[in-house]
Amino acid sequence: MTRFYATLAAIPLVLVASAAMAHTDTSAGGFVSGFKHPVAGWDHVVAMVAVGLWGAFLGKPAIWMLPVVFPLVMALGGALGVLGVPVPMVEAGIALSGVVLGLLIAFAVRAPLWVAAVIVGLFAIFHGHAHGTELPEAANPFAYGIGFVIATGLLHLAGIALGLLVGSQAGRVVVRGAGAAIAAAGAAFLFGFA
Amino acid sequence: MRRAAAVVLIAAAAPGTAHAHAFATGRDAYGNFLEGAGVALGSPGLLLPVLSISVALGLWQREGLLKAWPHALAGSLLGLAVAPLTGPWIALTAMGLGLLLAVLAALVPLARVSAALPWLAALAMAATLAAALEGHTFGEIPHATRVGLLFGAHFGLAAGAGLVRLVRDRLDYPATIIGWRVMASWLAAILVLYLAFSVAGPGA
Repeated sequence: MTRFYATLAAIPLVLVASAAMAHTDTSAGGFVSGFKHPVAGWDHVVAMVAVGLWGAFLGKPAIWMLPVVFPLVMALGGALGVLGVPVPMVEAGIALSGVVLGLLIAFAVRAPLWVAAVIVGLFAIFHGHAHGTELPEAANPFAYGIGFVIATGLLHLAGIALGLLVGSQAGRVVVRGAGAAIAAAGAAFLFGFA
Repeated sequence: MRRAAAVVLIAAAAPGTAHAHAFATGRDAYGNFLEGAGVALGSPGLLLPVLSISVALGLWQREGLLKAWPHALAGSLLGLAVAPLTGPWIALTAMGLGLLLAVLAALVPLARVSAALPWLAALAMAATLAAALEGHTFGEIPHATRVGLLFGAHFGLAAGAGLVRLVRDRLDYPATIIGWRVMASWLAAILVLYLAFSVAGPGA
């Protein structure tokens, strides 16, 4: 069984094996560039962690549905950005996503699944658009896209991992406190303090 | 009939970025075969739709690939046959169909679309194989290259669906299916971005 898991873990390494290109990802469009985009800005990070956190808070099926919806819609927003389609108030929308999602977690709001998906999807467009427009010259869109999506997914997973604490009473306090912190961070971006 | 001809003419005349693959002719048959397989497995615009099909079929049913393989094979042969009639739009069509399958795999219980899934897989494989040969006229590409393309695409299909089945068999938990649906959403997201870059062109 251990050998099976080891083999399974090695498969991605084999699939992505390529010539060594250390420190060559200085252009706008490589894997590292795509990976760094979602994690480089705190306004993005707190919102994406909040998505996982709220999903875990809402339980099944939101725990996996929200992290499925977010990258899909965010990629649509990214596509709009790449294609030069304008979206109004992108920066405000990104900051607002932290505020709204953080407050939803802090106040333990149990929204219906479709409402949660719409809220998350709406904010995902702003995040995706910001990333898309920041990429005027994508050298390797394939590698960029993979890095971009994996980083986003990992941030959601981090939120879900933290959100699983809701199983205990103390954990619920921690999670709701994290929501309040996310809302505060979003407000700081929204009002120009960060 | 006249309307159909007009649609074909519009499609042929529609401007778009060329996505054709340049094949080096003049090699021996095995070299041509390897080149075809390499294009099918090494071009993101072809590999991503194939992986989307494989994940969708693997998630659909344990034997999903085996049930849909005849459809996929027929679609592939059709795609190779009609490739010279297509234009740059076929690459975007292949990615669009791959995106549709990835979204279905991510968001929809696939039992609900059981009847349509093999046909969707066939259509997506047809578009993918046609996209691989897009822009090349009849007889321009050696048969060994076509066989290589067919082999490469179906190797990717089998490997992807096989991996889904292997993981499902060995890790028989509800979270495994959820994990694959998340993977499907990631595939879809990558396809959306790749589609956008393809539509926007090299200057984007």
